[in-house]
Amino acid sequence: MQKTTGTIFAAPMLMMMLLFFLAPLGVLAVFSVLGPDGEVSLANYRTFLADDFAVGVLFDTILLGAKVVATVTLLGLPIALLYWHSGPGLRGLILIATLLPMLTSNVVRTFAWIVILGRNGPISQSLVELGLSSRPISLLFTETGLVMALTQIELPLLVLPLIAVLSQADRRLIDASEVLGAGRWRSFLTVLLPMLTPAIFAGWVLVFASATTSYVTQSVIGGARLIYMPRFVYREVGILFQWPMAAAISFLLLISTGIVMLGLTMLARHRRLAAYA
Amino acid sequence: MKRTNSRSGFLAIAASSLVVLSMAGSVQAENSGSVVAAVFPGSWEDAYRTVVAPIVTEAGFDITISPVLAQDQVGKMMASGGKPPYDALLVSPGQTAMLKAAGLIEEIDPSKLKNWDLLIDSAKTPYGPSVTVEVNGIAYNPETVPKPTGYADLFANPAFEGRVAWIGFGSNTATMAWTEIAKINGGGADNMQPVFDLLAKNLNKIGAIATSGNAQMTMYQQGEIDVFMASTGNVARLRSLGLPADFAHPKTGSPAVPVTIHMAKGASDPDAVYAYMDAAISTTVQAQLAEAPTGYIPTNSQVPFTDIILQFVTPEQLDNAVFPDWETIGIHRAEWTAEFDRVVAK
Amino acid sequence: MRDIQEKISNASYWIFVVGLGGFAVFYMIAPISIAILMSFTDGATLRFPPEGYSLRWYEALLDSARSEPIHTAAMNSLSIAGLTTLGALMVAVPAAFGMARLGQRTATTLEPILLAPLVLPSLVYSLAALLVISNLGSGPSYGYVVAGHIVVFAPLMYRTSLAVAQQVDPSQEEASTTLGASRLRTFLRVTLPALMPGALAGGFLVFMQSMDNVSVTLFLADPKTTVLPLRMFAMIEESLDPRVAAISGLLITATIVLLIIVQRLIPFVRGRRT
Repeated sequence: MQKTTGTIFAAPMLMMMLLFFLAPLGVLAVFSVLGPDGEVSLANYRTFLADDFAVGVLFDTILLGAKVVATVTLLGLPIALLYWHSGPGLRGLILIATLLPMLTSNVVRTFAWIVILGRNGPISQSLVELGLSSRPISLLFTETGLVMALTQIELPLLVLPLIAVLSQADRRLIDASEVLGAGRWRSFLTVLLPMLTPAIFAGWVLVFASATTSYVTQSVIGGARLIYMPRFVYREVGILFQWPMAAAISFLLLISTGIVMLGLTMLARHRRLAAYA
Repeated sequence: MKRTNSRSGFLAIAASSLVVLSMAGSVQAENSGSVVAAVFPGSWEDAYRTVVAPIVTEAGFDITISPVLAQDQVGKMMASGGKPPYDALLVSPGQTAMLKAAGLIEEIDPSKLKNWDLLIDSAKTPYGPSVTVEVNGIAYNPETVPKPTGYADLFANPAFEGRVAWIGFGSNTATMAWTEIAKINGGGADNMQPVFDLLAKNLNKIGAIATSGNAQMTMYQQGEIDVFMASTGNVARLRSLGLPADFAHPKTGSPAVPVTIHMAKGASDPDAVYAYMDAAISTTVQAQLAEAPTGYIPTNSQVPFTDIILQFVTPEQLDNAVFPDWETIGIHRAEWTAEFDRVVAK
Repeated sequence: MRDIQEKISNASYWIFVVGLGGFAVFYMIAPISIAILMSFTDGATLRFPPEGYSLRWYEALLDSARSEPIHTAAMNSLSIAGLTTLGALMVAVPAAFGMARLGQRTATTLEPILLAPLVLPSLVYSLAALLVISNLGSGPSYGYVVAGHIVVFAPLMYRTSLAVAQQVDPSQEEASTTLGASRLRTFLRVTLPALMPGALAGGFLVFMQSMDNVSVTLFLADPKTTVLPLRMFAMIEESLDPRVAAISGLLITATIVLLIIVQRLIPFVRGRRT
């Protein structure tokens, strides 16, 4: 009885996803293996992989994702710990501080960084005033600047899952470990970290996916000389208007990001099971 | 129960406000009597919206101005399988050749344009009226850099190191400049390799590689660069913003290019497109666009060169302008665009 | 000896947490505060610190003569977001309800289909959608944008609703029907209210994401369907128009207000004292 109602209610969305999401992706895959004469071939993929520049773009994109994940983790874990050690008032503030950027438009967050990183921006001015640089420098259109901007934009994606776990966690676990004489670091590493690991992996997946595909930030902050996959894909459609090639390139993007994320997800599941073993 | 009633009340209000919101924008019936006109982003878009659009609306047609670069217009037209995304295109001969070859534009009937006879002869093309001739050269800041003598000067003279911005082949202005530079260095419209070699050698001395012509304008305003390839219209616009800016004719010749309106094949309402074309070449509009801040050279014979135009180019200079070989350029442009990215990528 | 070691170790921990953590929190919000501050600039360009303070860019933004394209884009974004939220509601809430009923095994096998858009880049999906649309002889349009948004964002609604749906006690429904209420009545009076909080949270997320979306709209929108994020993108790339800052100020304020409203509504909608 439950099963039939269940299926009826779930059917519309299931059908929608199959027909309107997965099917087009399937068509994309089919197009990507269409050779110049319409026969099935991997020519498009081969062209891409043989092109050093193109492979470089793919590699740079994944590397960008990895760099952003690293910096986000470096800044996100302390925030989570700060949350953990805070009372309800401060916890509320941290939550708001995390939610607000997440709910602010991507474009808004990006444009603020244009001014911050520019030659006449606060970073450049501070560097000059502190004597660390002889003349104003612009971090705009550099990968460092891009990583800085993306880190701020993606930080909430990691912090939110961490906070979600911590808000449910039992304080007594830590208190117990402290009573038994463990130092702060030990408590963190042996009690908190295992508890947070699934959320960390979940956050990593989200951050990686978002950082690698953020067309707006990459274009605006990265500029014309830093080229990543989203721009590459958009170009192929707009300039060369060749569907099979564009399909192949975007499918490669899908596969490569998919592999990374699948790996992370599997790690998460493995770790989670291990934690409960 | 009071709480349940107020809850259902709230739900009713929430649901109906969502529906109203949705209705607000979704009533976009395909009404005949409308024209979607592609216009270059930035000052062209602003100018056409404030000056040309009202006249079209007065004539009884609905007009949407859509900002999109000439080369991108071609891309979108070619990628569209069914109905064309734009009814009216605004492009230069390079794009016209591509569109003609792909059968995407219509030959027009000049009898439907009441202002057709006012046009100068060279502006009357079978596929539509030219609305201006853009004269291109080098925009520079006279307060920070010397006046460049030509394109070669920009690479040879140390005074320009780190101050010049360049963009890729997606822009007509840039393509013309690069073609001239290729000629200076032993190449031409059929051989762009000297340019790529020149770029590769001088990358670290270049001020910036920008993403678009308008991005260069922004960088100029922010003081990040002082020189870029531009039309006289760009310089007029910078002046109108109160910035010091001057125009230098390259000694090899100023590339000039007509800008023409075309009717897309399958336009939803040809009469609306004709009304739009008529408005753009009318004496009132051309006279207004010839003034600041736009300073567009008129193609309507009734409109004289204004002071602001004469500051940068005289009719004689226009006669000596260089007209690029768009056919040859068109063959290679896509590969040049891709190659440019490769050369400038870090 | 061990005492000092421990003290240093603990001190380093606190530096890590409070120092780096505090900095990180600042890092998260500083750019937004900077954006808001810049919106009040009196100058013609965007700089930080702003050159003077005034409301001139808000005035310019609200002036419909000068900012008409922005207003059109905003209206389009709002209506697209509205339709998307409605669409997501209609498919995802029932789906969550249904999936909660199905057995563990069926649910875990079917769920990835429903959650696919969350892990696959929407840029690639949008390209695929455009490919299909073009080859069917059609072209980008308002309708396709809405459809694309619904497909890409419905999983968000599904996730929030699922959490709630799993807590709905089937025995409550049984009790209701046993006591004589019709199936429909049970659904409206017992099930639906229970699912409300999930739907509300989901609706909020879907609406915000749809308003902010670039990747789907970039490929599937026709020239008439201009949307706010793309207009802002163009304004930033082409002229660094200070009105972008004003738009940001308004958007941020609206988000905060909406967030507060949603937070207040959840216990109200749940129908119980929390």
